[in-house]
Amino acid sequence: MGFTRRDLLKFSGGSAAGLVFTPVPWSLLHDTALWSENWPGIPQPPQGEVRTRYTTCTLCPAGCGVRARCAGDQPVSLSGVPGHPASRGALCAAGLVGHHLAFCRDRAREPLAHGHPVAIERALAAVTAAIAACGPRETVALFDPRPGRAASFVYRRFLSGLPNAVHCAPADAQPCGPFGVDLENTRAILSFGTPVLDGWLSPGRVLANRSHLRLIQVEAAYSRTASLADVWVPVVPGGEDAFAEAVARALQGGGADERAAEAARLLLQNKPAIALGGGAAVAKLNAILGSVGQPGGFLPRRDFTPATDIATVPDGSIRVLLIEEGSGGRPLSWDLVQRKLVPQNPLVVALTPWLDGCAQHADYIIPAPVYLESLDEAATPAGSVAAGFSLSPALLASPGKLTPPAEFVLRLAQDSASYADVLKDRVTAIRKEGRGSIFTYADAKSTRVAEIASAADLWKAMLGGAVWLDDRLPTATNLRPGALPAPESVELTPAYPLILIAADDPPAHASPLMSKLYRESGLRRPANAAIVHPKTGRGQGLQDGCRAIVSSPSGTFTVQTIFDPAVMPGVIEVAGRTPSAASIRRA
Amino acid sequence: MSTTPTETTTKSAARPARYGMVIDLDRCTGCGACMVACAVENNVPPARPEATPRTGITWMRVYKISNGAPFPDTRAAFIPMLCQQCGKDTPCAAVCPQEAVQADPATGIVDQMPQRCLGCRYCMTACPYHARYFNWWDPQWPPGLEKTLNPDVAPRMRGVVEKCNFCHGRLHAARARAAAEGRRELEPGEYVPACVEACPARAIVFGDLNDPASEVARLARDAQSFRILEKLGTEPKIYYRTARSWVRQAAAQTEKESAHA
Repeated sequence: MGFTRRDLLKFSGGSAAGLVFTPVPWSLLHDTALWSENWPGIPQPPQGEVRTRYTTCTLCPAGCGVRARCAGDQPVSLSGVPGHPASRGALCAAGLVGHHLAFCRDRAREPLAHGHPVAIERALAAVTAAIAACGPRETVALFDPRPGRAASFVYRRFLSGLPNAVHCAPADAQPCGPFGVDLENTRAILSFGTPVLDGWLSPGRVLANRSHLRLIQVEAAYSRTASLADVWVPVVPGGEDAFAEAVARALQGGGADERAAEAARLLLQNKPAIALGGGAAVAKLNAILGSVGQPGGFLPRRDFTPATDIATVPDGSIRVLLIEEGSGGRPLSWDLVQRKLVPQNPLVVALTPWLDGCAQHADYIIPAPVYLESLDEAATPAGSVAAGFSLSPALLASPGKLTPPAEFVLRLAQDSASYADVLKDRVTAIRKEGRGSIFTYADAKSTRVAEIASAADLWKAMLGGAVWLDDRLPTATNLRPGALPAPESVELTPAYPLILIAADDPPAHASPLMSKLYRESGLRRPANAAIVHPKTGRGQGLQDGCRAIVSSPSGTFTVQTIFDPAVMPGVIEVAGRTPSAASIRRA
Repeated sequence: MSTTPTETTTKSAARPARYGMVIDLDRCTGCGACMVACAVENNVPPARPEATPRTGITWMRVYKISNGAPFPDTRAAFIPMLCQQCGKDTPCAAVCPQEAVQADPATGIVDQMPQRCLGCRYCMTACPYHARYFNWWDPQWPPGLEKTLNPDVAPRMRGVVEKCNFCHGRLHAARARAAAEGRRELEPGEYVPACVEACPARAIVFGDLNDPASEVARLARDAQSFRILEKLGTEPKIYYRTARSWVRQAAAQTEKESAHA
């Protein structure tokens, strides 16, 4: 019997069909899946001994304690330090991915002069020459985003040696002046637009005290804080002062509308109470509530570094401007800077880790390390009732050619000390004064400074992760917190019939994983979103999701429209904008 | 009773654990720390430029819901949504042709095995909670950022489905630590998922629902606690609680009911 072509085909077909019923294809599939999981396109996690290191977050003034899980020398995740007196074991979303900042794009990596690499000595010489050439009516200004640090002391010492110099800061750098908020004993807060539950002070501390707080949120927007407040009072932007005055009248037994009367009743029933926000009316409310200098209110603390609000510096007066920009926080507005500079030959030096923001316009860029790349410091945690200080030891290798801003200023002042020496001096001074105690992160223990043998021991403890908190000052009356600028009232015109207010401001620089919040879930609005009430939007000829142009007296910009019935009609919410009259039209 | 949010109860040898969560919606501020902590812990890659809320991967996703009333009567709440770890007739496990979804009887955790997954996305269709995500692209991190990946968790490849597994890597690590110390059982608080640890509002309580003495079991029995789409009968192990009745009502409705409401 022969083997025909037909037999061969039948055998092949039968074999192929039979193969399906054997484990072979499934095994192949399994092997393929395993192979595909390890192909070169899949990133390999780092290897190394897993250990825990501690530092302090410097991305904002909250000064939260940080526990870093490291594989080898590389931090792979950050979390809060349980029991930390300021942060109570919590970190915000940006703080949880702070170790990614070093890998962000737009990093300044070498000194630049007008976009070209330059030796730092040449930059120093140019700044020194510009300072020497300052005229009698021209000033040298240094913008310090967080006055109160040891670096701020370096800046002030340098500026004090110059005839016309000013130490500038953002308007909201020290919102309570030389006061902290005794949140642990406060029973009610009347907040005028302060994002109490969304980034105010340290999130861990605020939220740990939330259960015993009654919160009244006075705000045009239905913000995160408003959504969780006990009472939300929507007011037209600019109407906050009038409402504060109405509450003050009601507190003093006078007549007031129903909303103000209810707020006053809640404040009286839940004392001690405080009012948060800007303006004389809010300061008056605090005086009536007796919240200044008393437990549960604003308590004075020892440290306070006065700095000039940069907005109040006379226009056209700054000849030399040094701008420190940190790893986090809001960048300084270049429009504002331009107004303050002299018209002819100003010199702007950006001491920054980033190439964007003011650095785009600066004459010189001195690259600074980002968070975790070099030894840094955190001053008194925002809102703390006692002065504080902590070190932020580096957890990442610095890529070289980076100069901490304080180090640059020290060289400018021809001071031989390094920034680390300045920090050591600060620790030595704390030990010498012997007040307060330190909380060490690794063992969650508090130790009186007076019980620590030497300044070297204190330095070692703080390098390992610790926060020093001063003793509280005795309570006192007749104190007034620093007056903050009042919210500006907005005048509408036929050309600008709507009110522009600030929405959530996305961080200028953050981990790519923040895309989970801003793009992949829509939990937070992106920077270019304009949120309007559907009626307002349709009245302006817009559709949900369309591109639009917002115009205000300060300029125009393009946005993507989002309709939200929770927004007050007649209002446009856009991130990072100051309140003003505005109009919106389809792009 | 203490309100420790990170409670894991000791596992009884006789009775397996049933890990679950109670999420307090009246505490959740919608800050998103849980979402970010989850992505860091589980090596979930950042979004590609073309990614949208439909194609992005968020094992934990916080939704904002509203009472639907116009300004100024509008009210909103934030609902963290993750795999609900269905304990009965788990829909995704029932439909998976590859048996890539398994409910661990020792812990109650519904796990996804990317090595077995074919990427048919049948499980995504079956999941009533939209808590499963498909890898549309090769996982990519910006240059240098690969160094920050969690060494305990393998990144998943393109073409597979992934979802919350209560940070299974942490459970393994906790068990390994316990074994190294000669223990067979985990101490309370020894194992907590990353989102629980990260929540600054302490809105998430985690633990063994089988342990009647645990905080999580006590809160789950509370009258203000409920489960989303409970009427489907899948016995989810994620409980939510709120004093706001409109939030409970909104969460109880199916999408179809919401559309007709």
